Amino acid sequence: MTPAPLPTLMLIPTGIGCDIGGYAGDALPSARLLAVASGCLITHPNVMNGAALYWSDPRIHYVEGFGLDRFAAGDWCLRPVRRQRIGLLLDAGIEAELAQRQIQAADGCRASLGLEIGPVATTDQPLQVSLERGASGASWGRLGQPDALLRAGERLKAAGATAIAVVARFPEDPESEELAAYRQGSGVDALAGAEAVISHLLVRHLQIPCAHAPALAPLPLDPQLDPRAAGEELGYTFLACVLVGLSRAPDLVAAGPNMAGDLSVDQLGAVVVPDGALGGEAVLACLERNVPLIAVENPSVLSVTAEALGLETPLLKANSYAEAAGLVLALREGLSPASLSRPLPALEQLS
Amino acid sequence: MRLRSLQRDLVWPPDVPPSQLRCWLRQQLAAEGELLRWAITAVISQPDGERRLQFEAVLLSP
Repeated sequence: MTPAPLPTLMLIPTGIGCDIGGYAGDALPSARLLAVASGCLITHPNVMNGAALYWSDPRIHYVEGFGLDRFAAGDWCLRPVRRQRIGLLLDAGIEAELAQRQIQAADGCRASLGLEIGPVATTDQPLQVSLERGASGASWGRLGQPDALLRAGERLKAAGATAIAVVARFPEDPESEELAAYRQGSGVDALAGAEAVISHLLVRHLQIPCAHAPALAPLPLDPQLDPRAAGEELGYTFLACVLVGLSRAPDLVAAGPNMAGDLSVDQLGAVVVPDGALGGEAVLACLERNVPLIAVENPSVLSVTAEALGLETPLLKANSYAEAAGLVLALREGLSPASLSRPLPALEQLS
Repeated sequence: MRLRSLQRDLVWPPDVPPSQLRCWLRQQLAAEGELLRWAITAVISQPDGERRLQFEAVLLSP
């Protein structure tokens, strides 16, 4: 008999250079395994987006980071849907030819994957994306014209879009050492922080699923390209994965009287997160509710570990996502994780 | 609306457990603006036992 699904939250924060999940959808195999183990995985675009590469699994719920934070805080629930109608939001700062590539990617997803996409809206001003790096080494970024983004999003929602894929023109420096390091598998994704800010803004404002793909000119061939970054060098756009992810992303609804099938934080059976990246809002919100935390060895530029935070129970450590999947399966099956390793801790005696 | 980056170094009071950190941080930073995206990016323990939190964020201002 298969036990009931154990809704599990998988987080790999964007722009902190995780060994797994710090590149182009390279945490997808781990997400797929956790989806099998849990039967219900909630995760975010940074885990699922591999630019030209993607995977669709009905057990995986694709939720943008701001929505995940609100979900974990108990403010919003997730309502699974059969499909979304995805509006395409283009930054007016994208050159005409590059914008046409985005529209062709959307057309390809309509024709070949059967996705419902449209309408398309272009912002009334260039968004003016800028990239930043925090003292920690994490990537961040801002928009010069956030209101232009929100106005375009409002137009799409008013025209019937139930989800939004946004493409913004990002600054580029093909000769930078930072980019070379990223492509060769040893750096932080410099674009990721700004991407998260864009999608956070839209989701906060519209409360519908949104995700972002950057518009960039193709790079010259790098024979040393790390396989984890290869998904971003297979085509002219990064959009296909976003459209596939959004096509069945759950609706974001205010917490309250739930409908059958809605997912709320109260149902969460585990949260899986890199040990070292425990300082984000969703993880801290899960700690408030005693959701079992599985901290996975997955190095990044951050060291906000369970030890640094002084976390006690319920905390489980895993050396890999394969081990984390085993722990999720144990929790789903009702097995005590402590019974799976030796020595078995002594029984606690109450005085 | 305007977006603003923020970095702060805060003393972590001993009476605030990890399970209350989120609410405590939100209270400490409420005057700065609305937090759009944020994280604790380091926890530094001093020899005298004091712990400090390093915090990075992007905020919204009207």
